[in-house]
Amino acid sequence: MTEKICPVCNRPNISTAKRCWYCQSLLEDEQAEPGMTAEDLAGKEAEVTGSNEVPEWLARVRQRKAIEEMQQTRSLSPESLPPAEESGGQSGNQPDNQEKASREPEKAEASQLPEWLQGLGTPPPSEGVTKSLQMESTPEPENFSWLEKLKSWKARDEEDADTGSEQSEPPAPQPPAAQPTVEGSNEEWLAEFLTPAEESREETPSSDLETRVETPAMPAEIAEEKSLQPGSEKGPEDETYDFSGEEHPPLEEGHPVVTQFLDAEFSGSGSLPQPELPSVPTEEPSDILKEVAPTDNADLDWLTHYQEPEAEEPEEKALPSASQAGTTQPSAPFLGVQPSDWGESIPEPDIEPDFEAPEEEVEPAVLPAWMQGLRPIETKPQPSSVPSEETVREGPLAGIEGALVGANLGAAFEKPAMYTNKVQVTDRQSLRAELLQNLLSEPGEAKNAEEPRRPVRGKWLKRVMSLVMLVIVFAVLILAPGTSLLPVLFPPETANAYRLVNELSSDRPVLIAADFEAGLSGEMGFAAQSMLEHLMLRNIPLAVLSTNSVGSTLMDQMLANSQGLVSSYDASTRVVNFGYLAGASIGMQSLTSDLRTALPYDRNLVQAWTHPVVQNVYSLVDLGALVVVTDDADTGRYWIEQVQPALNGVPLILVTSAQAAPMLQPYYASGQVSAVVSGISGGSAYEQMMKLPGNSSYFFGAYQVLVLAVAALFLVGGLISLVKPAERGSKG
Amino acid sequence: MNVTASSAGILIVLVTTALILVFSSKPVRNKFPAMFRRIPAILRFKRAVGVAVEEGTGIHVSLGKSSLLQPSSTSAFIGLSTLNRVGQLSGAGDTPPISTSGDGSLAVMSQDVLVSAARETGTLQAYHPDQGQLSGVTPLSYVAGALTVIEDPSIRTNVLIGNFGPEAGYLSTASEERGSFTMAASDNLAAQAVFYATAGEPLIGEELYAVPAYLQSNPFHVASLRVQDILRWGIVAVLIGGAILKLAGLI
Amino acid sequence: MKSPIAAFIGFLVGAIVLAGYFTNSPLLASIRNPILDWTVILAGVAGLIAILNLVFGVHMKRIRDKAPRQAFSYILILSFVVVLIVGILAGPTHPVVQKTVTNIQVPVETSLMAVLAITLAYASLRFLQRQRNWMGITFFIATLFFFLINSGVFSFSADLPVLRTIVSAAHQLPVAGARGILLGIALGSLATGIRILIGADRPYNN
Repeated sequence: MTEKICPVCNRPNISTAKRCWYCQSLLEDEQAEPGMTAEDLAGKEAEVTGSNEVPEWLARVRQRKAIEEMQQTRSLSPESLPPAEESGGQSGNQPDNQEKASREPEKAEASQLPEWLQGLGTPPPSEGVTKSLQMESTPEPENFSWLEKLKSWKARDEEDADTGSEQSEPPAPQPPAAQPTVEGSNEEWLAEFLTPAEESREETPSSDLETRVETPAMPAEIAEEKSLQPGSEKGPEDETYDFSGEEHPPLEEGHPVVTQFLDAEFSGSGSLPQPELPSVPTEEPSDILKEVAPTDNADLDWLTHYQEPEAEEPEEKALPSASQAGTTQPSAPFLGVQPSDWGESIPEPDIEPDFEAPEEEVEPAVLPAWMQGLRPIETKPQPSSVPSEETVREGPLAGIEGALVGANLGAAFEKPAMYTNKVQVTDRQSLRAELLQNLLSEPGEAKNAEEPRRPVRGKWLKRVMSLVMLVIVFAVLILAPGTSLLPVLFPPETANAYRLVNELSSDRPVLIAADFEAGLSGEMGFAAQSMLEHLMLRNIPLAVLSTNSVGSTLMDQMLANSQGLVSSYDASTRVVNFGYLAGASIGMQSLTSDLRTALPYDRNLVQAWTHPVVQNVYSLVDLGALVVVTDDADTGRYWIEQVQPALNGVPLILVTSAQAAPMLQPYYASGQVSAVVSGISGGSAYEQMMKLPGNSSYFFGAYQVLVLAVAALFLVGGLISLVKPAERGSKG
Repeated sequence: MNVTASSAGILIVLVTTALILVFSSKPVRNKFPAMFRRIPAILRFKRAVGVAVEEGTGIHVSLGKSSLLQPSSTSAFIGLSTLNRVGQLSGAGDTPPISTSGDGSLAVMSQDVLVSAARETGTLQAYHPDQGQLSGVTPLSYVAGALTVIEDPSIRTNVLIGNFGPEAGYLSTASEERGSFTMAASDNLAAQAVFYATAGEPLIGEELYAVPAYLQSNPFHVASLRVQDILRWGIVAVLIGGAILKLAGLI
Repeated sequence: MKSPIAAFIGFLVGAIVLAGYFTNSPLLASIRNPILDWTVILAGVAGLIAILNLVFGVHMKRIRDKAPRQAFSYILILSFVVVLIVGILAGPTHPVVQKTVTNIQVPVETSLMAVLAITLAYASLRFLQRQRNWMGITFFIATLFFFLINSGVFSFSADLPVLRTIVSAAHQLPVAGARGILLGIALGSLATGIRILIGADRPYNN
């Protein structure tokens, strides 16, 4: 099997290979492109190989230099410059059909390459750029042989290279070869193409273009970072990369890059860009370029990746920089590139080489800087694979030189989001957390609440108790009616009530506030009955109101009962029933401010204050007394607190239930209440003072016996409870 | 009301307000942190609410019979605060809390509180107006209506907090007989006595007014508790001083 | 979210009513009295709404859900409708309404109070099983002591000066205790009222 020696990497390939398996360079036929004649190539090879006196490595270097120069020439070939048909002439040196046909498989191959790599493939002639160049001032050289011009230009370049650069513009980073002295009218377009660019280099930041064409090939943030790195200007050595023979993809007319390029740059400057644009120092990319960048697919990568050979990621310092490589190793694309992670995605040729490359021919892993920048960020080789000669300054290996550096994971990942130590919670979340904390922060004994409680079973005992109590009541009422243990001394508060009623004037009405419920009307009847009888006996006019809905009705019932005992009292003319006073304590206080407004009508919705009983009453002070009949200590207190201050000496008498009396006793002791009649005992005492035995005295004996019976039950039950084991959850 | 009493009343109100505001301020709270004495009933109640939520049983809060137009409405407001807290605590439970009351305006307020708690816990869709119901307009009818709720098998925790009369013994007794957790508090002395005899977890005296502070830890609740203590000590001093002056014949 | 406007209105109304309690300014009274009237009306409307909710909400739902003892719900609704119609047509002073109160409500509630007495007596039997501590024992002794005092068995103490003094002093004990508790409750009410007045504690209107 015949082998094909790659003209670039000088490695053997199988005969059917069209590209070098190692460096993907075109082999033989493909190399014989119009831009590089076979003679050039042959001449160079002969020049390199003809010298048997030089060492092999030097010969290889020379060979590569020649190839590089050849590729530089190719970069100025009509593929990157106006094609013949649009440049005004069709030259026989234009890429012929054969060449186009030879590119078809390349395209097929390129389709299998990564997207970013496809941009480096086999671009067709850049018509867009060509057109843009023509539009301005490029004269159409008729019948010009651009190839010959290039030859001459290239020869000039070599000449300059040999004699040293005599350029008058040192800042110009373009290589000496880029300063041709264009001769002949056919080459004027090239002279105009080149010269104004140098002038406009100061005016127009061509870095915009560079960034524009560079950013699509890499993540935007990387490109931006690279553009910000200092020292990105290249020296003359860097220019060895400028025309490295890679063909750039075409830019079609109307392409965003081209359009904006023309609008923003060239139109304004009135000059054409020169091909040496990549040599312009990198500057900050403009905003417009940042916007355009993502839409492009490295169409102009060939222009840009030479710009920043030093603008590499820090982790790539171990690799030879592009500038360094440029001085010693002509950089052809993929030359000497070791397969890396990102390169593994490139499909291998179908036919495996049946030999291994000689060990001595393996080039050191030199990855051009431009390619470093072109690689996707996620496939960048980690510096851990490259030995570092630097001294480790921190960590357990501090002070050791050449130690393997661990993967710089920090550069491979994005900066994590900043999280503060303070937990940001909403009010609702904090509330729920607080609730949970409350639930969990119970003392141990509170767990008793968890224990299921056993329902109490005592219906039979309760029924027995009910029966016993009923038997006691009825037995006393039947066997000894009216028998009771009466105190020798009457309660003073009850005696005061009797005295006050006795002292009342019969022309001043007494206001009775009936604030008791139906359930306690029996006890309240026992307590109030005797006083009502006393009032009727003294023929005192009465006004009735209630702050609950049933009080006035219940009071009507009591008055009717009392009137039955005091037949001389005419309730129809001596009693006014105001009915229900709404508003509870608010209603009570309204009595103090304006009595007539608070109670405009009686219970029958008749004008109340026209009644003879109350027609002379305008305020509470016009009353003879205020009697509050209540079963609730709170209600009694409200009357004391809200109304008593407005009475101005008018007696306030409380008729209360037995349960409310202890809470109201302090008000009697303080003098706020004039008298108190409480419960059945008070009613019985009042009856005794009146010497008119009534219901209270009749039932008081049964009440006393029943209380004693309950006390006995309480005592027995308490003693049994003390003997029996305590209940679950008992507090003791 | 005479001028002296009015002035004293205004002074007490202003001093109390100022003290509450001062003690609820953050610097004072930080400098003088509140120290709570243990009230086991409230601690057990919080635990019972958690257990009810875990078991999926209901919580019944009975708010008493006080009208909002009465001075005893303060106990009703304490009950509403407790209901609000119960609604928050049991928001994650399967059974929403139920409240009963003996006054119309209080029933409407309880519905408002339950809606607020449901909205706060994101359980508004589970809210039903029947959760805050008026069970009766008289004390005994109110108790009778609340008994039906207490006897509901799904109710395992009963909180009686507000203004009650002795008839509330029905509620506490029924709850205890069913084996439910019962915490009872009232501003009525007769009801307190009944609760002490019949309820499992009674609150005596002004412990009723400490419930929100123990349940919610609101700065104002804690501050009001501290102000109550201060005023209480002031009253004690006045009583003792007055007694001494009285014994000395100076007044 | 609590409405600041509602809180402000609440504070304003509360301050006016409170100030009106301490002063007798006619101007303040002219503002305060209508506010109190509105409050009473609103409370009445709220009561009506709550009653309607009880009758047509709770009990109708029980009927719809065929809850246990739904017969009582039928009775309640029927009673409500009848009393409402009679009360509106005849007025609260009509004898039918009067007899409804005196012959139905009073016996029912009085019986309930009687049963309450039995219930409390029964509960007191088991009291020491639950409160077996010094407080419970004190409560037990005090209850027993006042049962005896109220039963009148110490009526003869009038003839024994020492016993009379002791009984008289014992009568003052609950008064003193009640006064202390009432003071505490008053302080609690004061603090709660001020909290609500200044808008610091509003469990409603969230």
